[in-house]
Amino acid sequence: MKKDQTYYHALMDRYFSGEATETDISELAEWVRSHKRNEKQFEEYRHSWMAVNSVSIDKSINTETAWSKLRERMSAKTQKKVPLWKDRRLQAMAAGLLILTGLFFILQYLVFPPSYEKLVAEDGILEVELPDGSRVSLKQNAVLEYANDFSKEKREVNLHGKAFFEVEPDKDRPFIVSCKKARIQVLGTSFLVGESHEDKVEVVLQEGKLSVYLESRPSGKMIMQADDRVEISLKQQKILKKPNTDPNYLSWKTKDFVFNDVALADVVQLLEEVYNTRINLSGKNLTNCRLNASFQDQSLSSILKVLQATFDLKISRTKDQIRIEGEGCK
Amino acid sequence: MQFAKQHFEQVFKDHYKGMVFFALRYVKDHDTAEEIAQEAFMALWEKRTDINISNDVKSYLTASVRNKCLNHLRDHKKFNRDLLELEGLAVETENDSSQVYEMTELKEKIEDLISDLPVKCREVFILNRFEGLKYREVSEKLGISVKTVETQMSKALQYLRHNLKKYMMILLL
Repeated sequence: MKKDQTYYHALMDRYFSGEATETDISELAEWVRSHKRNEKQFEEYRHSWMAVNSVSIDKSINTETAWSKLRERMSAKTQKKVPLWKDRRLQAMAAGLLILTGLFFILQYLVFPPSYEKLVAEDGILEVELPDGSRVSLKQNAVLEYANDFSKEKREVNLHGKAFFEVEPDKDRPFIVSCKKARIQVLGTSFLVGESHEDKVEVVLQEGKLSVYLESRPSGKMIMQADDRVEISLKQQKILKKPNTDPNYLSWKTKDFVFNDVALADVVQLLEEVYNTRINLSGKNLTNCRLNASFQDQSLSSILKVLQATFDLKISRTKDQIRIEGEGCK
Repeated sequence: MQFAKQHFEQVFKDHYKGMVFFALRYVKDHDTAEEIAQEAFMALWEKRTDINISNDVKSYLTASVRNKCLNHLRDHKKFNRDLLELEGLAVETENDSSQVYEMTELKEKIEDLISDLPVKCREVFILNRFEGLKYREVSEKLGISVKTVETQMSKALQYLRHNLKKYMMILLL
């Protein structure tokens, strides 16, 4: 094959676009080195490629997305990899206890080091990846605990509060969520578990299959199918299957809302919960207003703007709450 | 903590694109460049208590990105000292990428030129450059051969190069 200019031009483009092979690269280097003229051409190509890259980086990189990706890595790392005895707050606490109770406690601490990991969603939603690759979104204030040898034989986690699970399928190692005295066993699926009332636990299954049972009665399993919602009453020791009538059960995670003829007061209550803020409705007839709208991952202020326009509201913000006033609806 | 999360977020947002751009000069591949930039920021975050980085975050990141890139090139047998030298990447340099990076006028010109490209050519160019598809993936997506993808890319670049000449004179990189 005759290797003319066109050949080397293509070779340079291949090089700068990241498609060159090992052979291409050494061939190109040889050609570039062989003549000043080639070096000059290489330089021209390099410049134009840099210019193109500056545009393509602008177009293809979203700094916000990249940041959340990194933040996820950061929280997974700080939360997972730091053993409890390296946690600075715990060190300080241990020092305090030393004064109070003497060496005994420290010795116990050293002899029986805590053998579980504890994840707490302190400020906002915490998204983590467990050692087996399963993903969990913890709602604010939720706590998830699992043993250090998690994923060896079976995958067991303990939950307080609400969380959404996307479980990595693994037939040999069942994934079991304990929430109070309720047990949810899965093979690979995504679902929501949460304490709803004092003695109730709710489970909403998005996809896959899972079984739910009470700690005291492992044989009394209720099988759930996609879109099922189950309510476990701990007091009555009952598991009830109920249709999932709430399209917004996952809004705290997704910030997606669907409102079909929903009372404004209920809308506001949900927004308070999801955006972790306080909203005050004042005006008698405001409670008559009903909303038909859906939102996808929007900020609170843009949702409020829609409400404002729909119901002709006056919205004001103070330091710790949002105030909604208006004539209301008939 | 001398290096709070909030501060770190700002550092990230200020330097991320610049670091990807810098990495791209070495590795020539978008995904790899982004991954390397992410790793460099992750390393910075992990070392935040060990070193006093607030002084010169940028040099720390630059050095870190550079090392990771060189390792990547070596690992993938794409390390060529001659070419790196010509590209001004063989010696430790400041990451002055911002120079090209901040030239909005140039960027607008490029976008104009891209929209002038013939349809097929533009499609290939956009898939490869802006959507990060490899030549092979572009060829599969469009049902054309890799060779054709390569020809179309060369054609697009040829056109850009020709029309950017006078802008290129300003670039001293």
